[in-house]
Amino acid sequence: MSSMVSFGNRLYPNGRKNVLQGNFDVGGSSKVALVSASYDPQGNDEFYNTAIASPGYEVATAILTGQSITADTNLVGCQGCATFIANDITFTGIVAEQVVDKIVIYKNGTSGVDDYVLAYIESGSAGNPINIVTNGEDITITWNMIEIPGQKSIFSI
Amino acid sequence: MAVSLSGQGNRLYPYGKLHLLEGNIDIQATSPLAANPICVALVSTDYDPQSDDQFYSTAINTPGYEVATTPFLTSNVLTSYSAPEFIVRFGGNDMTWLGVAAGSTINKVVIYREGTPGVDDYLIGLFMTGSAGPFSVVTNNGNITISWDSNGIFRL
Repeated sequence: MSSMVSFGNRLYPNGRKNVLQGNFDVGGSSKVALVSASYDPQGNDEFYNTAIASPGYEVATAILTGQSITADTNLVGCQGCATFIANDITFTGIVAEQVVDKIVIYKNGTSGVDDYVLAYIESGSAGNPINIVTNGEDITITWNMIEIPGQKSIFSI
Repeated sequence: MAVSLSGQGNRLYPYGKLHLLEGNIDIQATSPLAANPICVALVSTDYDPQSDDQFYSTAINTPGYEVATTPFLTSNVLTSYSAPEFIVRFGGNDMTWLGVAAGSTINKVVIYREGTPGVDDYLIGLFMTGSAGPFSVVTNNGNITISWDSNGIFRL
């Protein structure tokens, strides 16, 4: 497998697989992690604990709230996609002097069993790479609003 | 507002995508080991697929658009692709329907999850185009075989 760095925001292949196998209710209990620049995401990463937490790449995590999935039956914007959205999310109490350049969404499951990684985000608005040096202050993620006009989305398929 | 999907090419139904994301479909489920296997139907030209179609029974079976019985898809396999795509390909065995009764015209193939009619018999994939473009098959009591594309049934 290959490094996913610089290939843009995307779903992990194994995240797609677990969605297709019915192993991952994206609208269920999911978490978001701020991940350090030391993490080199691989195309075969599957479990959050194995790929990110245990090696020490986790900077902060928070539970997603307000998730919903919408089917675009009007065929506008994303032309019939299903769009996943949740509330904007704020991380508090982040230790200073760490470099965050990735955000990972994963299933809030049992480590190494079903804590499936799903989405990998390395670019923010306008495609700018994420690069934050933590300073002890809160960090807020505001999700995008481009897939369906007027509606925020984290990703769509 | 529902929109007709006719003429818009092969695609996954919007609600099929939604149910995949909600974990309601195991695309690798095969009979007889799974309770809700993935089925394939040959569908008549009378079916005008809508963007808000959700259940096989409601959209296709009850209105009488199903032409052939619906064997289970077998050997369902998910294959991961590496850089630069990082996607998953869904594949299965080619399928043959035996002695399809004469008198119908088929121009669509639909993949769905077998389930309770109107409750969880979710529509997944709609196919209107083959390797040579849109297809139209007039049944004549002979067999009909689907040979899936070498790139899989669909990719996500």
